[in-house]
Amino acid sequence: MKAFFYKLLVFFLVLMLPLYGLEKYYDYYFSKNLDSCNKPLWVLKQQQQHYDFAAIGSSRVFNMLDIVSIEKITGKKGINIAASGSGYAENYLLLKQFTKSNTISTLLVQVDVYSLDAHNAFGYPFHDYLYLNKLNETEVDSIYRDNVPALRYYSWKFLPFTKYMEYSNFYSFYKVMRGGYECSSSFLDTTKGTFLVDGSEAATAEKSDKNQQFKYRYIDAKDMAYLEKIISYCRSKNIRILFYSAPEYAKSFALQGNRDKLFKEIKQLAAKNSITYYNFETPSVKLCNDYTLFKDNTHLNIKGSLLFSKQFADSLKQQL
Amino acid sequence: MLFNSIDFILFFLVVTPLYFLLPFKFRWLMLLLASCYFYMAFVPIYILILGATIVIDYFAGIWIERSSGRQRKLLLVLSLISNIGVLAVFKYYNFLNENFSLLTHSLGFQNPIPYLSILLPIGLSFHTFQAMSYTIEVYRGNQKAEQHFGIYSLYVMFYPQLVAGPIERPQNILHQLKEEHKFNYTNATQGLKLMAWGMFKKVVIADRLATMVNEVYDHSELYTGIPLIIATVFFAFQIYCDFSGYSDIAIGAARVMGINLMLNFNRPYSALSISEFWGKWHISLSTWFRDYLYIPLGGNRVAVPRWYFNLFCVFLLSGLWHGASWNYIIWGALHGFYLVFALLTQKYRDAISKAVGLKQNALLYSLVQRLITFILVAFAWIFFRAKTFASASYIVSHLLDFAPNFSNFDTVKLVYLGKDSGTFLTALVFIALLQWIEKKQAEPANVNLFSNRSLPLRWTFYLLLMLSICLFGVFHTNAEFIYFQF
Repeated sequence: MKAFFYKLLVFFLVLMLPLYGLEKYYDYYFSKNLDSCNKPLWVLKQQQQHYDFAAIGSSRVFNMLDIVSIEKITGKKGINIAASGSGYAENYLLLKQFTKSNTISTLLVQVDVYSLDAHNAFGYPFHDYLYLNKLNETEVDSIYRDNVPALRYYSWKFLPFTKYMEYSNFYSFYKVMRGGYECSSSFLDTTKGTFLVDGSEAATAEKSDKNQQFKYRYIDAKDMAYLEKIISYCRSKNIRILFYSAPEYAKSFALQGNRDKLFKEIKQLAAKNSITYYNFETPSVKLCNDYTLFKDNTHLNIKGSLLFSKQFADSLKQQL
Repeated sequence: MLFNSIDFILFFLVVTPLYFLLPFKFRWLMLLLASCYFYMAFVPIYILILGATIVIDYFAGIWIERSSGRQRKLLLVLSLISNIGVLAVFKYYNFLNENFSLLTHSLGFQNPIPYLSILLPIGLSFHTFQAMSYTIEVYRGNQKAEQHFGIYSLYVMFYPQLVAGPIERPQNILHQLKEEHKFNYTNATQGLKLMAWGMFKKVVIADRLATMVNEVYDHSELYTGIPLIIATVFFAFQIYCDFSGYSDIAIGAARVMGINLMLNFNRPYSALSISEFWGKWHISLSTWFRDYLYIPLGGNRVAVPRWYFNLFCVFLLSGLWHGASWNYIIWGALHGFYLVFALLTQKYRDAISKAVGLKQNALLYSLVQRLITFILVAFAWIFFRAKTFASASYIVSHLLDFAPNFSNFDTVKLVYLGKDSGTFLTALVFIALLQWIEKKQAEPANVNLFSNRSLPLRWTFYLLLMLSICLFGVFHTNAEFIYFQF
């Protein structure tokens, strides 16, 4: 039995050698060849730029805040660095990576009951497959350790190539062989990182009177901790922060248990850190009451997004 | 717990050495606890159902052995009813109720029987059939009732074959679970090699093919002709590699511990006829049906019409065993029909082959037979894979529709089934490689094709196999094995 285990161990070690080499090559290759059509990777691709403002958050920023409209009204240069379905942990990682080679004067942080309860609100709040080639960076590593189940984290960390095996479709061998992604130029360059989407599910829901189910929302301590990390990181980098809550269809307010309590906490957090807070997510905001401006309860359609972006830009004029 | 997961690798790395390190008297207990953990990794609560059937069959076995005459038969029937009852409730209740609703609706009244909101316990049909084979064999006097409750539980729950077979017979495995197995180098290496080969078939071939098959079968209305044919052929290889890959891993994991499980697949697509196919495909199930249903019905030692009925009936039930859906029933019925049709037309087919000179050319004759068998099997797979009867009907009716749909012309969709050419061509290369390796393995001269070679050559081959799994394997979907749902 000893001889068998000895041979097995030697075989395992011999196997680890090419896998280690492959992992290093993939790390290098996928840090040089980023898919411009993938939003978070597009963000990482931006280099040596200064922006007067950047917006961060989930799809309620990526799909609803039109940077071009805001630039026109304010005359300032901006970028949308939000990613669909991402919680504050991923936002924090993206922000840190982005500011490694870019500078920002003001950061617009979208705060709402979804981002503060990301694990319940989003199916996949931390897109762990996107930053695997950066796992050897201390700060990325700590975010992974916090957000990835222990077994996966340690196997990715200590068993060469397992991280790329698990996402073999995304990190396909053919991509490496073929030499990169088919998406060489991205529409995101012209929209400054925004992707407005059209649709009328909210209208359909309004007519058929079928809305989402009632749900209690809570602030997740981990999400709050990452939001606070974003705040302190910005402080350390001398980046000014503004909070805002994007419009939501007013009828869905009644479907959110704890809503008032959560918004009170958001306001308290803003006050505690002397952060200006713009709340567009109240029934008093006209936009929230017009279902024709919504794609669904939580996302504005193109018409709604353009209107909102103009309104927000008017408020921001003095601040930026 | 899926065999193609990191969790299983860790589980295996802990359980196997522990099995050899523990004193013999504790091994069954460790294996039983490990099997419970393995099963509970899916849906923990379902262990209670498994536990209940184990208790019933354990006592049924003992009482059957002690009794005689009508009482003996009655105990067997009670045990079978309890097993089939569990299957009926969890697997067939909603299907039967749904069809009853259709019937009552067509008669103008509403079905008062409620639907059950329950999940099918993983591998239910496998362990139920294995438990049933135990009580039947005890009843027949071929197997002594197991007195040790733990060993009997392990017979049903032995983790390598618990959720997807092979469906073992008590005569083959019970005594092995009681014997002391010393570590054996040959068993360990053979077992590991089989596991690696099974893993290759599952993650490199089956799951790669699945990405393309799913694309077509999940949106079948977008396709006609060639893509439907390619997807159907791919599915034939997908399900083979998926299920035989699972069996290889199961047999390999047991063999490392010195326990031999029965062969479940033997190059089924090399079969020259449908009847030969069933001697090579899911052997543990087809022999189960043969021993416990076909032969008790009279097998072929009855009048010819009754023989045909027996055959058809067995395959119909085999279809139903796979799932509570008309598609599975049609799939089983098709195979039953193929067999009866083959028997009915044997004389005429022989005459035609002779007349066209096909029989003179043995190679060509066997090639034609293989091709026809494969086409028939693949055609039946359409009903097995399609999600609904409507989808299967669409695929069947558009299979030979080769007119290109220019309004929806998309090379990627039409030629590569929605994937890039690399994925498509690699799949083809791996299918060819699989066929070649399995053909070589089947030749008696090549039994020790690799084990007789020098160490560097052997290790190079094994390293390439492992690297292929790492580089070309599909892991991200966390794909379950197709047969888990049965």
